[in-house]
Amino acid sequence: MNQSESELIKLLKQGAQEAFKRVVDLYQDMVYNTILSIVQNEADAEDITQDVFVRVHESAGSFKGDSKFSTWLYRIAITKALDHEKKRKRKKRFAFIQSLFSEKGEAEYHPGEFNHPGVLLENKEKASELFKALHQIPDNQRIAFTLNKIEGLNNQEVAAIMNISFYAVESLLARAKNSLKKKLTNYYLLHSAK
Amino acid sequence: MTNNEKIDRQIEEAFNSIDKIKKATATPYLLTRINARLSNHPKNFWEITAVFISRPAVLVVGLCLILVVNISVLLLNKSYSVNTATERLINSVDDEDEYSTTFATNDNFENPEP
Repeated sequence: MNQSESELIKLLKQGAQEAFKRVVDLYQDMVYNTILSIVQNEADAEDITQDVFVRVHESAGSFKGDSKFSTWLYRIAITKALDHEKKRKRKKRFAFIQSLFSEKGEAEYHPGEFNHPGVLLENKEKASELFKALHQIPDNQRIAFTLNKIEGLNNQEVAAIMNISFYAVESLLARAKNSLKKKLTNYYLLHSAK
Repeated sequence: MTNNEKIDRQIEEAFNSIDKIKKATATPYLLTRINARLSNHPKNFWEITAVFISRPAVLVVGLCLILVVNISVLLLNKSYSVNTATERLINSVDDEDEYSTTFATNDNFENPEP
């Protein structure tokens, strides 16, 4: 942590509004991009980003400085995003039960196709397929892959955020790639058969 | 190109599609929205409790609990009153027996001679 950052955190802990504004300015894109890559919905990502900063405002005092401030922020963002995912899955299950009793016999909840705004236009379709597969792999693999490939963090930083060893991150990334390959193979096999 | 090779190529392309991904940017009014949320956010214990209690799930669970407690108290009272009535009946029969026995004993005491 450099001196200006530690000074900023000190002011934030004291409840200075200017410091909070500066923290939001500095980290809003980082938090938003991470959450967006996990929840894959812009409106939800914006809501959760607001939640994250409300939490930062309320519990800045609990930041001990053992890790980097950005690491602490990433952890809050990931926890909130995963909580949201759990709620969404519960809703999906409830929608399925509702569909059993509805006249149409269809589920009410339809997650749409996701296009990350940072992807180049010519890669939109392929990236959308990758994000779809990413949404289907286990949470820890998804988080490691997102932080490494989309946020551009190195394995050491990912390890600090996920609170696991460097080697565990390497293993998670390899497993994530394998899982994604399997999902994509199934997807392309299904589409080439049509 | 075989089907497997085609699929392998498609997978490779999907992985490469995020190579030059740029970071998504948050809306410019994020800070204003956060501040609005902070001003509406409950601050003290009572506000937090009020918000928690007014949640639909908490309300429904609370009402169900009250109903369950009421029904169980009613059922318990009903069985208690039945038990008490039976007990009273038994006691009254016992009292009657006792009274008649006492009465007979008193008679015997007052008239010792046959």
